[in-house]
Amino acid sequence: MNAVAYIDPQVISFITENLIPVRLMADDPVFGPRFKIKWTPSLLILDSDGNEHYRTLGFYPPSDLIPSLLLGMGKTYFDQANRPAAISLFQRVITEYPKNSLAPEAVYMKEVSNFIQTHDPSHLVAIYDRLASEYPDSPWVTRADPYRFLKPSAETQPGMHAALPPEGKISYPSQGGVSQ
Amino acid sequence: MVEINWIESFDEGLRRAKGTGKLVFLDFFNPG
Repeated sequence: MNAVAYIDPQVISFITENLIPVRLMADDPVFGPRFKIKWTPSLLILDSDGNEHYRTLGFYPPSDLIPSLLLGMGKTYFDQANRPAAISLFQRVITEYPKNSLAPEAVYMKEVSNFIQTHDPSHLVAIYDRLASEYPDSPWVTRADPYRFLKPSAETQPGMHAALPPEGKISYPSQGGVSQ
Repeated sequence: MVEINWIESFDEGLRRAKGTGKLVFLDFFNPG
């Protein structure tokens, strides 16, 4: 990371302006075990109480690191129920990095956040519609597949939707790839 | 040359996060 991403001016500017950068050795006797570090680089986003909300592994080129950090920041605010802040960060991934591999997940998380905030199921339908049209090869299309059944059909009365998930019961995939 | 001003103390990182309202970016690295 030192050789590529951390010398990129945009990365330096983004991290300096938006985050508190902390660097620890992977074999730190206290925090290595506390965060179950098994591989480096391990990149985490924490809240100010030290709680982990996002983790990713491996080396990032500059063009991928910033959207990853934006997604992690958004997930942190999502966990903290700060939906407007989360939506804003997910939207930045979608708008500023539409070709990035994390953009489909940002679409999913943004509309889930909108749904939780508004209870309007059209946001869940929008997840499927947008992913299917703009990111048809993404695995996130499959994860959003049930939401296409929420579309009002010709036989459904206006305002009625099928199988609406109860608030707070919506699951979303956690960040993968971390061995425990 | 401008660089990332890494903090090498976990507790200091949290203290600054509380003071600024920012989140913490924690990088575990292996210098070897």
